[in-house]
Amino acid sequence: MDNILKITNLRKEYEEFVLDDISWDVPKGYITGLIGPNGAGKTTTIKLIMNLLRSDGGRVEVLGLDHIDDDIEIKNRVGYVGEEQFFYEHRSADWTGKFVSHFFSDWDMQRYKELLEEFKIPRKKMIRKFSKGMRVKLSLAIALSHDPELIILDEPTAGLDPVIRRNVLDFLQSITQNGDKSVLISSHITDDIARIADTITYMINGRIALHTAKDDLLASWKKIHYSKGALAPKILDNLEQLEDHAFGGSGITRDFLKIKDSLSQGLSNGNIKVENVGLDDILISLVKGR
Amino acid sequence: MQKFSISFILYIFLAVGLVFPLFNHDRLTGPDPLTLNFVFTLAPYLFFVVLGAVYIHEQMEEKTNGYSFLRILPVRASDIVVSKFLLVFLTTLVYVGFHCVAFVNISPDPSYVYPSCSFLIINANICLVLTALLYVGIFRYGNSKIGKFIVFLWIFIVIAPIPINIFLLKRLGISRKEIIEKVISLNWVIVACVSVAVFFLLMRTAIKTLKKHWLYGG
Repeated sequence: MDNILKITNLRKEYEEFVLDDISWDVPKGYITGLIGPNGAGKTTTIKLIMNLLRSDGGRVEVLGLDHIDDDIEIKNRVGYVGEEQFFYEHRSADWTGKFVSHFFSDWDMQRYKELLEEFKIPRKKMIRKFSKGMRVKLSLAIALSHDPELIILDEPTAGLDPVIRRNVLDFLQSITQNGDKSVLISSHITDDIARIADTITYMINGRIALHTAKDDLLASWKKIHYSKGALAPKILDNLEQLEDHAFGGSGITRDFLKIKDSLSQGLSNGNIKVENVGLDDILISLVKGR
Repeated sequence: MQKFSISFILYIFLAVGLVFPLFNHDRLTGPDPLTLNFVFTLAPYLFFVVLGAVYIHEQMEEKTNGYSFLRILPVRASDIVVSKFLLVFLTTLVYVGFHCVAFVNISPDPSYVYPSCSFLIINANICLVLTALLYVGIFRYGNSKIGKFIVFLWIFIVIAPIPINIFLLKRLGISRKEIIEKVISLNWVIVACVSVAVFFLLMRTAIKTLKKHWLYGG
């Protein structure tokens, strides 16, 4: 599998936070979701990738290019939507499109106008009068109008109403259908990631806690409900987030496929039940630890 | 304010400055134009135009987080700085060039042309170096701090000449004419060469400063 983004031992130190020598590869042609609690280092990582922060060590390759030496080339080929959207507030979307068109070598004004129309962004209105949703969509329109190979979005759906959120997510999914574009989306709204991502990366306390394909992740992580005495102690030791109930208990396993066979009897007699877990549950497990 | 763009207001300023000599044609026909207010007013007016442009543009950049917008675009910090410095340089060049041509064509006595142009060029060079220094300051400390200094400079340029003239004349016995003659006695070619060199050296410093303090967030 080709990688569109390759991070090796990336480090950034703040007084109260350290992005701790992370190494991470993002596959080409897929949507990768970056999940983590607030303060986990998602935005720092994305800003480092985009060379908007100075790193304290490590290397980042985007599209095979060095993120510092080839900064301009990368920004030309990557669509970026930050957690905050900055524009010249007293200008319109039309003016902004013309302004940024001078900087991108593959700017497609027709595409930009189509996107403004599709996102229902007023073309003549001053940007300072835009709602949060409009600003995100304008930012997205700019990010998509120069035919980027990689689209990086940092919490793009935060603060958006559900209708616009769904709209943005569906749009992102549609543009990756051909496999020629890749998306890296960071969010703490795990529903969004669950909806569109192909691969998932969990970041906790400045470290990559887990990185895997979404389907594999959801197939491996399961919640087991069991009656008293139904689970062998060896299996019970593998469960986390254990909860005791009057008639038994429940816990989460990270390796359901490995223990599946040993549960077959309990599953058939109804003493054990298996439930799918959400990305939220996995995040909580990873944060709390085993 | 919102109805007029900033550029429009600056163009009005520049246009007024450019046509100034035409409206003051009668003053140039006097026996000694340097003793009149004409050149003495014309030179500081350049400070108004250039410093005004810098102040308003940087105010706008800061207010709208313009640099945050620019830094996600494929544009180098050096391109941003060079474009700002070139705008200052060209504005000054147009202003000085226009007025020198106007002096040549309007002034009834050719002997007035050289001192008038010389005074204007030397002033323009001071303005260039000052603006470059202000840009370095803006990139280092932000427009909110340096902007106050620019406003102070503006007010100083308006108010200060009168008390300074009175002080120099009454206490030291130096007239405005003597000051102007002192300035004119400088070799404007050398002044221009040195100040343009300093201007472009400061531009390099400004590039380094912008890279360090804005693009990477310190």
